[in-house]
Amino acid sequence: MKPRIAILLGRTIWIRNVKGWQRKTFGDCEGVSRLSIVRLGEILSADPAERTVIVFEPEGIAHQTVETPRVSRAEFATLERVRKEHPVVLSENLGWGIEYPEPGSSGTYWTLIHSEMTPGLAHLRDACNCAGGHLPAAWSAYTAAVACATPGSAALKTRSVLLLTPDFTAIATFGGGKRSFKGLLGSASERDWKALSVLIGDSEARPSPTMVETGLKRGSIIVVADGEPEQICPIWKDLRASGRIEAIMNLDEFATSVAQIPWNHPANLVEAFPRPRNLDRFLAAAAIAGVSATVALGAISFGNGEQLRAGDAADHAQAANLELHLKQLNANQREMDRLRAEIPDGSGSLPVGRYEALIGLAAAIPDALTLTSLTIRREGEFELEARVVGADFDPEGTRQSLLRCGFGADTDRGWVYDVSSGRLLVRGKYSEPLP
Amino acid sequence: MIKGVKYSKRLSVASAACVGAACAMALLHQHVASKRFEHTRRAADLAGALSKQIASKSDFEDSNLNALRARVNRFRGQLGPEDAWERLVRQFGEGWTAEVGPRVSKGGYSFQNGSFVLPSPMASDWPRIVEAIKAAEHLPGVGIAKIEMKTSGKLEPRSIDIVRIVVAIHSRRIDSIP
Repeated sequence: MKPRIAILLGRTIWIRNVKGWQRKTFGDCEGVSRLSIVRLGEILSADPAERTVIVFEPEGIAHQTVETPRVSRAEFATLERVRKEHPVVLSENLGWGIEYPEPGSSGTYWTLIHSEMTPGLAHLRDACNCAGGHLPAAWSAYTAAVACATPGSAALKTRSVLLLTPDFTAIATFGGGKRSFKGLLGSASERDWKALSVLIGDSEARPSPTMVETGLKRGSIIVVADGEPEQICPIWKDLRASGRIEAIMNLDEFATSVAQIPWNHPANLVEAFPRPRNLDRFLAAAAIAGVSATVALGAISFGNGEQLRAGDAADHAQAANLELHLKQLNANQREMDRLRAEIPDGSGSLPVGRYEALIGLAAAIPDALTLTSLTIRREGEFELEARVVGADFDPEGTRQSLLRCGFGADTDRGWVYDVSSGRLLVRGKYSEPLP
Repeated sequence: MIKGVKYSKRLSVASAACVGAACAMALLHQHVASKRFEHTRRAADLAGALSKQIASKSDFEDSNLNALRARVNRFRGQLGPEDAWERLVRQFGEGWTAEVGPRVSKGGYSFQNGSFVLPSPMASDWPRIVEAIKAAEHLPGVGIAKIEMKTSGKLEPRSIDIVRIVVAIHSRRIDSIP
């Protein structure tokens, strides 16, 4: 949303409402400057706006050229020489601002300091604050005039902005290493206009000492006028005839240019007033973060609670299963103890199936082999010895036949066949014959 | 120029309330999380203790119980009469030399080993030997604990040096039968 623009030039106030620009001019009397400021304050209070930007050029605003290092506004205010020569930078109730430092002819930087001589802007700021609004920026007429010029165009050329109103006339000159401001209150005399004419033509009349300024040409003029320029300015025809008029702007266009000046521009007069840091943004951010964290943590806690309940049920089920298994094992243990008590220790089962073993062995021994000894013990361990008596003895076939009838040889030295002596020794454990 | 601070009381109260709510929720979250952790730890401890007890009783699984039951049933089914040795001697006949071993009584059962040796065996006796083993295995309470046969000589027909059959007898003592 665009801020409301109020203009105070000399003894005249301009403020825009639904009917357009409303102008109020105060007569030439003692304390008129104070009166116009008070009246502007009343207007701002009566019709509050969220943000108001003021072009502030009452009687008694000083515009002084100052040599400075290339520093920011804050650093500028800390310079010892500046504090000494311009004590306004130490004041907390006088508005002041500086233009961006620009290089001068001797390599130094120069700026223009705009400052109030008596407190006035502070009153307007208080009026805005009391009405629930905010005064983020106030610009001197020079800063506002410079804002009307298209930035970047012919930066090396000196340009002028001529402010023409029935009761206030001013000329702001800038560019090409030159900065100046001259304002005239009330109706200008012929002598005043001549002086202004000289100022406008000054840049082209005086040769520049630097190489940069040697390229200076006749600078263009931007005219900001409230009304018909030819009725306000007696030298208007000459200006038109010079061909230097670049643009003629009305108050609307002027206000639009002013609204576009960034508030952190060092020429902001309001920046001189101490203002408390507004913590509302941080509080709002903290509130939003708090709500977000509450919602997020709540969701996580709810999820954890659900998982806790589900895990609880699963753990109970698992514990119940384990307890049931343990109970079953205890019952098994009791029964096994009883069964073991029934049969004496060492009373193994009686060996069976030895008849079938001998029948199977007889079938497995081929004609080429004669059994010379056989021992089968209680647990089935056997040892048989045979002698090869035929030329067609097939060791592997015999081994398989023995295995099929239950006489499987041990893997470790269970099958020893000495070909030279024709002696076969088989050791192993008898088991059920393979089907 | 910034000097001091300003803030909306309403916003500050709301902000404090929101931050307080967030802190309370954080505490709740912490509480739930610690409760969940504690519960998980307790459940794991309980499950671990039960699993340990179960592991220590792994010898009593159903498979082992069933194997023991089968063994007991087999033992019961293999029991013979108290005069099994006498019956066996009669079964082998006079061609065998019987050597009775000591009888051991345990609980309501008696266990006895004995051996039968065929004197001067010949190769032609082999079918008789096999039949004797078959007959012995058919007697209740009798098992063949060892068969031993040895021959000697280099040429056919080889001479049989020894044939020895060791028998094991399991029987129920009469005085233990109710």
